[in-house]
Amino acid sequence: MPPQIDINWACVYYESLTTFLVFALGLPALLFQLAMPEIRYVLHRRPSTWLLFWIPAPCLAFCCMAFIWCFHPCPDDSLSMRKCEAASWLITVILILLVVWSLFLSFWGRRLLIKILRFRITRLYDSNNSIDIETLDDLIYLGEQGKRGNEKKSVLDELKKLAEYVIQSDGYDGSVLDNVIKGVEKIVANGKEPGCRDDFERATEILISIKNHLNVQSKKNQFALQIPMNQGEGLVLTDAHDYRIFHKVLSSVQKKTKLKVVELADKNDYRIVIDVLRDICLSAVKHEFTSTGKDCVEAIVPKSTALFQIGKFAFLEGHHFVSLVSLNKLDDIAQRQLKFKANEDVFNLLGLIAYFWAGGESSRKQAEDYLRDVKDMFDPSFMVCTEAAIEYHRTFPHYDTADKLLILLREYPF
Amino acid sequence: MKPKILWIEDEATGDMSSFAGPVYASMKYEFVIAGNASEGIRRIIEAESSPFLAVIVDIRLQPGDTEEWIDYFGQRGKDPKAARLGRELLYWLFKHEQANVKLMDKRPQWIVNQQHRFGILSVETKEELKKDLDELGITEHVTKKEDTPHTVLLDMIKKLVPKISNPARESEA
Repeated sequence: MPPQIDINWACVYYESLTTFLVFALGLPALLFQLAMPEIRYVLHRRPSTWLLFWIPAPCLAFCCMAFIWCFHPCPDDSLSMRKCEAASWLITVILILLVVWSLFLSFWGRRLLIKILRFRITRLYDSNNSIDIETLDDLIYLGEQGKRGNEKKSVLDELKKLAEYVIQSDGYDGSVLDNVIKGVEKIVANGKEPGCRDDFERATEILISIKNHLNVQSKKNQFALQIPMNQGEGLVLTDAHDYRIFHKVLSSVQKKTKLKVVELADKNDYRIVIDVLRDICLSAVKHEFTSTGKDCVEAIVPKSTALFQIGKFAFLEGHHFVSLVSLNKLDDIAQRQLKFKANEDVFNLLGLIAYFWAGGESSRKQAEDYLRDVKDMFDPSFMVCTEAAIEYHRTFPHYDTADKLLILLREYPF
Repeated sequence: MKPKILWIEDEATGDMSSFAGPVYASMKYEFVIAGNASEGIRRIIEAESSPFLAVIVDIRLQPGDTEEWIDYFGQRGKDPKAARLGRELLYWLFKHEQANVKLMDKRPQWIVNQQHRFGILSVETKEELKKDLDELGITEHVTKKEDTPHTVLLDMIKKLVPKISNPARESEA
């Protein structure tokens, strides 16, 4: 005779069911606690993504109830071999699924979450042509807190896809990606968990591809810039942002040389990407990632101020290869004009050469050789340009550079 | 203007600072390094209005981000030695019909009959590349060895750019 339902059986049945349900509900919480703090932080901010952890709960609860149901006493054929077999299969499959899901979450949970966030950003971008800052911040936070290597790579890869998606869309006006650009910097060049060499290279690649796209877009603006440069007349202002200071500094030179100030419109569409490339370069130099430093320097041309800052930093940090590359690029910019005019590009070139001059015997030899080659190309003279460069750097105020230029002015055999 | 020089070189090999250092230190060239085949082609195409006076190519290159290069590199087991993307790049430029990598049909005009501006700096010996060098019409080739002087790149550039076009620096040249 099959066992009948009595009070004992009902108690055991109820207790088992409760235990299984509590376990089913507790499992997601356990998985959640096992997740990395930054993932928990993002999940807290986005309850919709909790589904990732809660998917097993109802499945487990259902399976537990089904398992108990198999052993539910009934008048006929109770606990037959068929039912026992079914129950065994059920419990085994449940356990395997749970293990697989837990492993999946521990290995791929972060990546899945990152993909969900990127997908959400692109979906919102499609509907209103702007990037959802809150979701982007979460994505960047995961990259910032992630370990160097794979964890940062997965976020950078998604940011790359996002940038490509936005660039290829019709509504892209050049400023939408500003937060993505800043985010790339936060991920690799933060003080807490800086990226590895590959992370820096990947970040540089993203920024260069954005910059190249913006470069093509602003070709029309640059055309206006090139006309006076080719004619070789006037003082060329390449940075409208610093116009007021620049104009003040140059007024003395202007009086001496009777040069005309030509105001040019440079919309600086890609100022942010250049600034971030410069900062990443400085950080790369600090971490001795010379190749990335060189790539950034190449990408920053023709922004002489950023090149000067990188060159100076690299020189002071003892990374002379990068400072030499910067000096070359500054010289390339200066040589695009017929003569070395008293302009910002030349002031930055002279600023950097002054560090070489005052740095040590070998770097002074490098500066001497270079100045011997180019000193006749200055118009106004090398001395006048150097004096103007001192004023320029003093006004900003780059006192250390102005001091180095004073040493050059005092010691160079004009 | 300084003579523009392009070096297409796989930066992963670590030759960059040792070979490029003397070129930068000379301060005589507008020197550009392309780190892979895609970037190399991009630089060559972009130079239509301001051509390079010398282009030095490594045979073993990484593909970069162009699909055609990536596909071909994949077909060759992702092995730079087997893929020889530098060779493919030169074939695309000068012997389009024999190139294994089919990029766009239109090639830059400034490279037409300009093989004398191109040189190869690679670990492959002249004998290994003889057939390709003859076919492409490139004469300047240097093999990278353990004892290759680090001025090799500068020396190659001097050979390829016999006359410095910057009047202010002619005296030193």
